[in-house]
Amino acid sequence: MEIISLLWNNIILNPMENSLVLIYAYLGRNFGITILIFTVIVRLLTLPLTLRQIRSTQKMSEIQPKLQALQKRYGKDRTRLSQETMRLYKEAGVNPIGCLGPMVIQFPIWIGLYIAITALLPTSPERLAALSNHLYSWLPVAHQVVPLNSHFLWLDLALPDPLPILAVLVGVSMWAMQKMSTPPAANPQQASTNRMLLWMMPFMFAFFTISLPTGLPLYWTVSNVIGIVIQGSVTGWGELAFWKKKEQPIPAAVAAISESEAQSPSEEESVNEEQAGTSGDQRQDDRGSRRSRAQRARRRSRGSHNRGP
Amino acid sequence: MKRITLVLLSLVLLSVLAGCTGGQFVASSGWSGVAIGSDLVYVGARSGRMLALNTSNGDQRASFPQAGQDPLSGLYGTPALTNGLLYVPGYDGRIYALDAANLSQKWRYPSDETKVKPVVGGVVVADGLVVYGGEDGYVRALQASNGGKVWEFKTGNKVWSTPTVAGGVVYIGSLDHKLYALDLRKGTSVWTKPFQADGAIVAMPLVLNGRVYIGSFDRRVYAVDAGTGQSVWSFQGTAWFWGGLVTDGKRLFAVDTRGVVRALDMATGQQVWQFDMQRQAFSSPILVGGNLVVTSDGGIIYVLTPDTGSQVSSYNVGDKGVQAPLTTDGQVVYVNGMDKRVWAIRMGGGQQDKVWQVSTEPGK
Repeated sequence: MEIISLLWNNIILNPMENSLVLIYAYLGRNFGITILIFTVIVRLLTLPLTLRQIRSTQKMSEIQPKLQALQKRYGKDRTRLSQETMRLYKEAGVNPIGCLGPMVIQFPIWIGLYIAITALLPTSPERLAALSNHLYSWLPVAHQVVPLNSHFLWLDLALPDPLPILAVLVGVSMWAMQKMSTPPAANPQQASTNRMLLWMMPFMFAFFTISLPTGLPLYWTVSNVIGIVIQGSVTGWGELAFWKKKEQPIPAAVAAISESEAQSPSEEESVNEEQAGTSGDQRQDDRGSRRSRAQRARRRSRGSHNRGP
Repeated sequence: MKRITLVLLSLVLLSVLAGCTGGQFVASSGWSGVAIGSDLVYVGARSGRMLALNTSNGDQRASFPQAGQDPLSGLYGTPALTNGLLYVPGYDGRIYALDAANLSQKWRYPSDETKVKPVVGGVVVADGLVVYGGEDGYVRALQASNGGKVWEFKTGNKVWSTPTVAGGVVYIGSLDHKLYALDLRKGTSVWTKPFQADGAIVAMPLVLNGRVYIGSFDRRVYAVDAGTGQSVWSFQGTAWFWGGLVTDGKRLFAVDTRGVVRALDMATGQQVWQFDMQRQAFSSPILVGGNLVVTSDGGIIYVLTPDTGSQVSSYNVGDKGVQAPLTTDGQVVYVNGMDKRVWAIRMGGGQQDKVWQVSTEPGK
């Protein structure tokens, strides 16, 4: 236990606390701004992982139909299904646990940040006393700026928000993130799960924001906003783009019919062509225009789903 | 499935974080020193009650609040005893004046239910006034007889320091990195401007021979001219100076938060010797029977010779250690331990015997 505590303090907590103090000392002497800058730094450092996760989720959604086909084919043979699934993942270059990476990395950051905030903005003398052991002795400026100024806008970052404003910000930003990053559902059951999670996570975080020191929810809010910008830049705004006119989705059956018509002319058309004695070029043109119509129908069908990560 | 797992993990984590959160007035512990009377000693227990203990055997004579009543939210500052009244600074932000014989309340300030910021430092009584600093950044003087406010002075940050009164002047430090000198009767600044250190000041100033000696979080000990507030010398240490200083007239003794005891030449600030207790220390040192007595959160009380810092002896008061200031009547040292026990140890005259040791936990 002591070893874990030692590792935790020396690898996560002490560097985090001293980094925050350093940012505070040289960039504004305002802890709210310190948290903003810290969040940007953390997001920058985890950007490669985030981008990989976004692309992995994107690929995952693209192979959904094939996954369903595998489930239908090998549903009763779990071993074979598992093998085929892994083969498909490998061929598609998908990491099935890729989506977990950024989230799992965030957990120690949340815990460390929470502890760092309560240590750097002590609400009791014992906590300030304990801080003396965590600041690096070779960093004189750290000792000179303590205790830190905990006020930022209407907030005392050491205490919960007296108003529900931050809880709303956390909930809304998290909802937007969820909305953008949720892949299209492969079946009605998954759609139902997605809908539940879309509302559950934001509500949960907003609820807990009410009782947490506002420093941590401030981090969440800024982190979510940055995440939204990254997601939007990589995959588009998806269903968040309320300013775009929504195309009505064409049912799959209709799209399939359109596509098959584009690929092989109907009997009637063939007869008509023969009767009319249309030239080969003209027939090709006709087929081409039907193909174009089918392609446009398919694009409209795809565009109505969130094809994000 | 993975997303649901993530959600559940998040829920558990959030619950743990929310459960760990404390509010502004969370039930705190405290590290009150002991006030010594003729046949009673008074100590703020970590349970939130001020106790009056018999000096001969440690038996509890009275408590405030009484058993059955809600305890205070914490007691950090050492109480002051004068003219039969005990003045107690509470972490609830109130100053209580109690009858020293039975700890019945005479007055409290503020007297109404106004929510006030905590008081962490101790109080001092001088010239009929009770002087203290609060987390709201104010230094206040109250009438010792009835708690009426006489004056208040605003600093730039919380005040955790216990004031020192000398020559009609109140010297007190603040977390705004400044040392203030205020006229005792009027509460106005005596110096042109307060003395500015590079770190927060929570220690109690020591005033002697026209100088004020004070330690700071910038890891320095300063000697400041008491009349002008100008720096005379400073000593650079390696850790925060939290506790107060003590002197034998020639040397100044200071303990930093890493547990290093230092003896400094009072005239020049040069270090004469140092002794490393190798544990964190927040307790102020004292002089007893010509020896220096120091302690840390390691639970060992060290007795050192002032001339060289050599260890004369040591005494174990439990592994939870001591953060409260040590106090002495010249023969007996009183220790308020982190393990909720109060010790009386005879150390004068070269002896070292436990006189008594009692638990301050209710019912024990």
